[in-house]
Amino acid sequence: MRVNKVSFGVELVPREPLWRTCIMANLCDKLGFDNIWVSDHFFNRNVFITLSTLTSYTKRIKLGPAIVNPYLYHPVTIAQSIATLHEASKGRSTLGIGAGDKTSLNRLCIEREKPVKTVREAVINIRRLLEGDAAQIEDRRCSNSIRLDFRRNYKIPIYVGAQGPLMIKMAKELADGVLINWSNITKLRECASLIADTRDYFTRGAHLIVSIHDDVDKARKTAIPFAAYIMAGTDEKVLNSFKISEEERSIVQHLLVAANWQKLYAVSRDEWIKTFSFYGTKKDLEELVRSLVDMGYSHIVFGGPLGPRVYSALKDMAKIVKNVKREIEE
Amino acid sequence: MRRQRVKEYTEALLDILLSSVNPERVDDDLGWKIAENIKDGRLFTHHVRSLLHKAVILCEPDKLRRINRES
Repeated sequence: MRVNKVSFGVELVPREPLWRTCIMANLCDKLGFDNIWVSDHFFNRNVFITLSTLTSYTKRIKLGPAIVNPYLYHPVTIAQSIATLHEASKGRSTLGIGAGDKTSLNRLCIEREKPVKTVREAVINIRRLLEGDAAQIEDRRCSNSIRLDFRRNYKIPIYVGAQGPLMIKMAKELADGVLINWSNITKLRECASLIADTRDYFTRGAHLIVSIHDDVDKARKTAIPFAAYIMAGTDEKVLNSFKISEEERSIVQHLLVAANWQKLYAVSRDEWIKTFSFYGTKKDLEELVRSLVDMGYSHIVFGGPLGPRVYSALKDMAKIVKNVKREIEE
Repeated sequence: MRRQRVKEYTEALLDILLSSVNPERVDDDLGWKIAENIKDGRLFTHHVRSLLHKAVILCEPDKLRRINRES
């Protein structure tokens, strides 16, 4: 199933100084990308304050968090923050919500309990709050009906970050789109078949971890910490399906927490780097993008390191975007 | 020809700054000045080139020396 319209986003990681994220956002805006997605991790800079700052450095590009989770942020806080961002950006906000990554939540002593149910309830409540309706907030101790006490009826697209079939199913039912968090072509194909029956207005997104450079070894090295991070937070069952042992995951997780990059490079294997990221040349990435469009993906996010030379990688990606869009329009 | 080379040099400086693993070595004032100027469309001016130069000396002095040798 080939799509007749496709959009492209870039994921920015607010680990670096805010001024540098602002430069990146401004370049993405000028280079013709459609979306900026800012990632959320407790150890990085705050996602919503970063997004709010980016509104002053961009003119037309859409801005949103990818992905915030309802374990760390109460759904009311998410609704309140995204509504405020919508005003600050003059209607350019989008929301990416998901279960969050297990490793980070564990470090905060937060258990990622019933992820599909938790995200589902959050999506329902956030949607209600944004549309001016009452949300039903419940836990073991109390149950309250609450509203936002300011301007209502925000039309903000909600995308669900997903990897597994149950989360994808829930996204199809309740959200405006899905961001499939895989970079592996086999997994992306599997997921594409799960979203092939969605309506045209539903955004079928692929959120990739990408590293490109003319020298493939350099691209690979840059991809390793990002692939390792995703691997460390992946369920044992999924890892087993890729023939990655729990022991290997544990070693990688320890090296990540200790920021022992040299050792991490030494123990890295292509089996997991290629499972959790994409690395290669510009031409390789263009081929991947075309395959994804052929599979029916209508939104592609270039995330992660982008490449050892970030600005060059961004310009190369912008050329891919132009080529692919032109081809689809023709 | 010269203009093209200056443009390429400016882009090389920007590439180093955006790829550096030591961006915290660049003080925020300098970083924000660069961001403001790029936002206002002044990337390819002498002023921004000198700001980028200052920033790259701080975060990646070896890489700066290398591109200076090559250019």
